[in-house]
Amino acid sequence: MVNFRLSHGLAVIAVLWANGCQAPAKNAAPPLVIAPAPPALPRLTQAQYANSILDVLGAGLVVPPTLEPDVAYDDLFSVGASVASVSPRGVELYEDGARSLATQVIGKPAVLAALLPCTATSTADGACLDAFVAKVGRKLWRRPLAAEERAPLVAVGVQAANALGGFQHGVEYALVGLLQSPRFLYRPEVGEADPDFGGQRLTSYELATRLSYFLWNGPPDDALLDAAQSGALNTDDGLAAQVDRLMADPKVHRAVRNFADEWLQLRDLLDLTKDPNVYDDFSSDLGGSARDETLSLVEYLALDQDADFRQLLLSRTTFVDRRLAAIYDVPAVSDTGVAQIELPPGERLGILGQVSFLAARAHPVSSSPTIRGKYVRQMLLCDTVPNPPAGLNTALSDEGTATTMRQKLAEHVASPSCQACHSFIDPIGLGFEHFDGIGRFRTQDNGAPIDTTGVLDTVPFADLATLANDIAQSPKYSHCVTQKLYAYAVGRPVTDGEAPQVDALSGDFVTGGQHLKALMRAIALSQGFRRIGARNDTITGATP
Amino acid sequence: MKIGRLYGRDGLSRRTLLRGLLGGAVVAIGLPPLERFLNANGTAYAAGGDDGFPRRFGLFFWGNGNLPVRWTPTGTGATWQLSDQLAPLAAVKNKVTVVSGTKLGVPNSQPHGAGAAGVLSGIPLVLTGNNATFGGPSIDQIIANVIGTDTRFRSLEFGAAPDSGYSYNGPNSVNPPEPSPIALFQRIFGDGFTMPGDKPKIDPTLGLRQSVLDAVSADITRLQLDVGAADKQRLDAHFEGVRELEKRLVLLQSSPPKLDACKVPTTPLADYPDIEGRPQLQLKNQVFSEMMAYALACDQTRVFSNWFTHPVNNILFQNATTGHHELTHNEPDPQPQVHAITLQIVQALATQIAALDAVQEGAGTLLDHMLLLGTSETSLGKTHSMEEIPLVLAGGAGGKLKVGLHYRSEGGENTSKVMLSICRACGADLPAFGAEGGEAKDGLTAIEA
Repeated sequence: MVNFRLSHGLAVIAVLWANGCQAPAKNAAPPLVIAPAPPALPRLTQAQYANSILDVLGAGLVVPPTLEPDVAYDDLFSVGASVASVSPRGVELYEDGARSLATQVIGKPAVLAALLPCTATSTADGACLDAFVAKVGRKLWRRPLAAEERAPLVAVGVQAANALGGFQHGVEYALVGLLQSPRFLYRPEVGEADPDFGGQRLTSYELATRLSYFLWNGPPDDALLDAAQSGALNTDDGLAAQVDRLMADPKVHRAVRNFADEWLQLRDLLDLTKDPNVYDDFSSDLGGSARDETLSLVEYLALDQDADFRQLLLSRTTFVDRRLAAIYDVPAVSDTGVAQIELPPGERLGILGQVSFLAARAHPVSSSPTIRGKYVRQMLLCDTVPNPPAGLNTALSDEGTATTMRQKLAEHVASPSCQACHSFIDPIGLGFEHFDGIGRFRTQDNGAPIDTTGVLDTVPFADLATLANDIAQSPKYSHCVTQKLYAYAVGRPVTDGEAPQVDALSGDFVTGGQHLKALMRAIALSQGFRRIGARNDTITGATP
Repeated sequence: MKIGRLYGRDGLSRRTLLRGLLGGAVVAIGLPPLERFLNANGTAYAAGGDDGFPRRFGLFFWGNGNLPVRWTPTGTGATWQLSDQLAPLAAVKNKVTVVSGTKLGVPNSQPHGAGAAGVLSGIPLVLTGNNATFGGPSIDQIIANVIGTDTRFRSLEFGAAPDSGYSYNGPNSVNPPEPSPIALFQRIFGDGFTMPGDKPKIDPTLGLRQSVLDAVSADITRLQLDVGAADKQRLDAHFEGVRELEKRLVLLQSSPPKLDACKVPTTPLADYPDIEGRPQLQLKNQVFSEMMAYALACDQTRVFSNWFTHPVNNILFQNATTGHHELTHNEPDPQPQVHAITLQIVQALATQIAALDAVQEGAGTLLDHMLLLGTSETSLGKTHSMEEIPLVLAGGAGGKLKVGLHYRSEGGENTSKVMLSICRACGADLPAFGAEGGEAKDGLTAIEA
């Protein structure tokens, strides 16, 4: 049980040890000491908003197509959600959305009936409205509402029922209020005293919320809220039981897909543009297909197969539609959407052999080793790539004899000021040069043969396949997956005080054979996920 | 830079905090009553410009800069010739002032990003790891906080290829631009629009919506007691948005005075799809420009920002062989394709200016009563230069700024001086623009009337 090493079972061992008992077996880990991060106030991302509506109000509703845009921080929208503010335009969109949803709810008798716990006995039946606000509010705000929190919404509902002449309008406006409340739009963390570790921890409802948005990318269901209410969630066993229940639910699929979408920057694919005169395989919906391919592979490996997550870089199984099949030069097996295939033996494998990487990390008319190398460093190895120094002449060579991209870059980075960074990223990117700017295999660049050999952090590679293997075997990759998933799970920037937590999780991830499901479970049970530090009442910078 | 120091002082109200981190000083700006701009008959504007029309501000921003050697006009003062890059402005030259030779005073800490923060806010870009944010509001919001408070929309943001834009309310708070002409049209001229002079529709739901917003506001205020300082600020921004929405609902129930120049523009197409991988930038910009002229003429807003393209954009422009950003770095000198793209950008700017100049208002045009600023985050994209910042000023803000000039700053004055002159001409009477090296306490008197 990975979790107990990280949970208070360990604290007990640590105490015994300190009291002079025999030290535990020599390979037992030292006690984990972390400084928990301050409480956060993540706003719902667009995906979380949509899932909250569909889960709570009804799967048949049309969610608002436009909301305040998500903002990435540390390359993740879920982290940016705790940093960015809501603009006046965003508030306007929240109101539009709330009104549209409430109108839909009262216009669909079955939906309304499922949400109403009572039958109104008068046009402005305040008691029945109060029961509605209590029932639906608990799901939307993810905790029970106090009487004084319900009262203003019930009052608006009574006003609306009278003014518009119908009880259903009371429901409508009470719901408009619930949906515009910061208690719905944000996930406030206040915390409570922590009897296990001292300091603070999330309240049981806050923990339920963090848990469900991590494992479902959506709101807690009744059973999870009940576990919060009973206090069961505050026990190790109660928490583990809920984690296991959530991870056995199909909703975990949308959470894993969403994590991959954020981590691998797949939303960029919706704006993919290529010059069709250069790439006749390009069509405006190629980006969507490519995104679906990568998400399908992640889902397949992490959940369906519970595979070693290094397979993400090494898998020959993938999911293609006709457009992708044409680029990969393989037969398409489906006329609609993506379907599972095995790639033939060759250089192309894993997500780095997919259009979602090769085409998105390239120029409209050519490949870009620099952009591809930077992506691998930043997203897969969690290396920090510094900004190029401003004010340099960044032009590729105007003259000279360069033919291939490798030769052009070599001339480009000849100056020492460029070389420091470019030698960090370009050699990786050049390993992908057998694949052009849309992801088609080639052996020549401008009529000259392509050299794809290079070195990744002292480990040599010959081409995409061996480079992908080097990345997969790098300790940086497993640590990076852990770090990204942990940041995604807590929904705020990771602090220095949590580094031991991430290291410990990463260590267990590797020891356990790199299964993403096990990592998700370990994160959900970890101290860093459950504990919080002191509130920060002063501002030390522009960001928390 | 310690933003927090400025926000954290005691005794500052929520609104004050939101409204004015300007030049390193906090400036409190009062909210005038709604009637302030109406005269006794309720038929025209009593305040605003000296000409009786309200002052307006528009920003036209594009990414990746220009080619300074082909941009700078020849001759200075009133006798000057358009350069070949500025040639598309020929038809409106007598209503345009070009300022060349200024430079940004902020450090060039991140290619493109630092320049955007420098030109638009005058405050150094705030970098945390790879994350970047402006340290204070952008010029459109600085001005909107003063002259935008009484219209239906405090400001409008849009653009043909805007990405996330740089209309900052403050750190980590951006007003997202609308990329779809039809969506912007419906927002302005759809539900909720009352033709000035017409009686508003009686709508019982408006009062109900206000009641809901009252409850939401109270809820935000209560939540603020339970969160840390940074989150309190984020909730301040949310609260301000709710307050703005409430004000809009009040306006919907008022009878706006008739405005002769107001009309509803042509409804845009549902979509302007890319053609052969190339966005229809010119057409979208033309539709946006006409729409915005009437949004101003109908007094729905007094401030807009048009994010025509964004920094680092790699858009395939018409006739270009690859993306704009890639060309700025990789095309051999003298970069004929970058030049051709810059011409397309200046053409779009000319379209916007012409659309504003086509609306008659009193003895002049809408353009005469406003200031439109065209600028970018850099000059020479190849080096991310912060010198020779491109600045095109059109309209003169109702006579507050000179038009028909080329001002050449031989000594490389701070670009923030121009921004300060613009803010003041548009009614935001600030002591300074920008902070640290980007701060200017004096305007550029040579362009002030």
